[in-house]
Amino acid sequence: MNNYYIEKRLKTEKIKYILVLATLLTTLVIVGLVSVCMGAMDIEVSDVFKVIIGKIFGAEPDVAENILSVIWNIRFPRIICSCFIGMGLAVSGAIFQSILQNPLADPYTIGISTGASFGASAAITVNLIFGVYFPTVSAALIGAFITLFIVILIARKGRSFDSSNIVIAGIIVSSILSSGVGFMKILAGENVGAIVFWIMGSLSAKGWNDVIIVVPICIILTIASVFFAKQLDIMALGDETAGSLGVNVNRARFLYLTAGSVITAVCVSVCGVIGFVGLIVPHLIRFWVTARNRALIPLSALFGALLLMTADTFACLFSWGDIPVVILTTLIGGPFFIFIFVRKRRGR
Amino acid sequence: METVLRVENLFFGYKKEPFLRNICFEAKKGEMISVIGENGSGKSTLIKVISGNLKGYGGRVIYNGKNLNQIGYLERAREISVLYQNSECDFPFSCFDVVSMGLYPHKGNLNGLNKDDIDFIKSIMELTETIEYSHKSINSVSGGERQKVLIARALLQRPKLLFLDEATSGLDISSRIKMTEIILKECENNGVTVINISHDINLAFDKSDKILALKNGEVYSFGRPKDLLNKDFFREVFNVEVKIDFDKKYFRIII
Repeated sequence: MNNYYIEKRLKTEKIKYILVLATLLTTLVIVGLVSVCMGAMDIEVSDVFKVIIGKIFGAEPDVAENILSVIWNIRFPRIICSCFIGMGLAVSGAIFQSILQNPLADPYTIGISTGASFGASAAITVNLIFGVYFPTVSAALIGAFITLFIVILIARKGRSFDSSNIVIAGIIVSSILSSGVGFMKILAGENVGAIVFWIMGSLSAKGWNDVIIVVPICIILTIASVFFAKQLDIMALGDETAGSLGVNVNRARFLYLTAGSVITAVCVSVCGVIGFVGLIVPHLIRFWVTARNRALIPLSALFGALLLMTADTFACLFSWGDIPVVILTTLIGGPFFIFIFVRKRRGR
Repeated sequence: METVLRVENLFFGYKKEPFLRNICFEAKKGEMISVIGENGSGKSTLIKVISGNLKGYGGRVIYNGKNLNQIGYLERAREISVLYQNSECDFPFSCFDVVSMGLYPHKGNLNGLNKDDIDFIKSIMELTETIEYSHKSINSVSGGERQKVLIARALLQRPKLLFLDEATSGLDISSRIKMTEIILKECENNGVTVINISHDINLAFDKSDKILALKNGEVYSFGRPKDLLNKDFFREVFNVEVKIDFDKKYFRIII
């Protein structure tokens, strides 16, 4: 009877995975379409399809010039950015939780976001003071990568690459950089708002040049993580067990740390620090479906995309004072997470 | 009988001062060797070094004629399995998932489980009595149950050399005896060599082919249990006075 039971359960798990995947994918497409149509200017769904088909086949779409411009130059890049940034943050959250063997880890644990904030704040301050134009996205990317490099340098101890060392190094570097950001805010004087809003994170005014930075990196690194997902599972059992199962823990941790950090760096550089997605999305998927990374990563990717896209749509709709999307992700996501968490604990 | 593992003049230190000094012994196919000694005598470090998990040692560790340093991670995991005491896991993997990770060295990253794999996992889980809670998450079962899952995981690896670091110490007495018997059966049926750290001296002297006694990072003695069994031995290794009895009913030694 037990024999039959295990096979049946494996089959049920597989069906559940496919159903959740299909549901998330469908919802994502629907929310995406709704999101394109909604905003300051109402747009017909048929116009959206006309633009998509026209762009795919290279024909001039039969849509008014201003509507075409709004759909193609404003809403599409914003929605695609929100989708892939949500995906990237959720995937890197799942990666960081596994490699640091810590369910409380998120993409910002090792200070990549503070590094990016520091870079961006420095660029904003320099631009203000000297009246030059240094692009904030590039500065944020540089800041994020330098931070990663320093954290790795501090955390490495000979050949070993211990998870708690990475967390400690991250916290130290992050604190120092936060002070730096604080200093920059003072230097910026009455223009401090520019820095504050950048750090809070926003998806407004994203263009195709942002899409080009975010999309390829998120897609490539997510696919790579799914391919090596079994290693991530095994690393969650602890370094020694993982080593005895044939995983070169130090190398794997270094590679995943870099992959997760690159995804985070790109996302943060483009849209600022959007918190919470990277922490809760992998948890929810673990609660609902499975902890196995082979399934967890693709589902987290889709759910992260959905969460951020929905939050951003709401941010657009109710933007009396252009509410930063991070406030909404936390406002919607936080109570929802508490609800799921409490229900799960009571159920146990 | 062929020698599976040979340790020659092994030195190892966490800092400059060597902690393990001049360790020499060898293990033959199908043998069960118990490593005993006081806390801090270097038992766990020795296991970590000779199982390939700690690098940077002096001397030689030869596994099946090959230097341990020259064996790749996956190749090593196909032959050598290590089981530590109660490894915690913070993520809700099902017990089945954890056991199935034992197939990783044989299947690699991309291959999923086929019917034969599932049958094999089931047989090991039945053997270790973990199948009843195979669907439960590993962080919701008791410490003893989790340890049995990890034992099943180590057996699924189909090792030729199995290291156990106090692997049965968290189990109740009946499970401890049962798991030891399963492991011994593996030794016998599949010719697995077992190197076991144990604080259960009675069990070690009763079931092992050989005893490796460590004192302050050096080998105090290495030999068959009946050759080592005397009061002086325990006084030297553990600093305790013991009484050695013989249970006539079960033909067992009681220390």
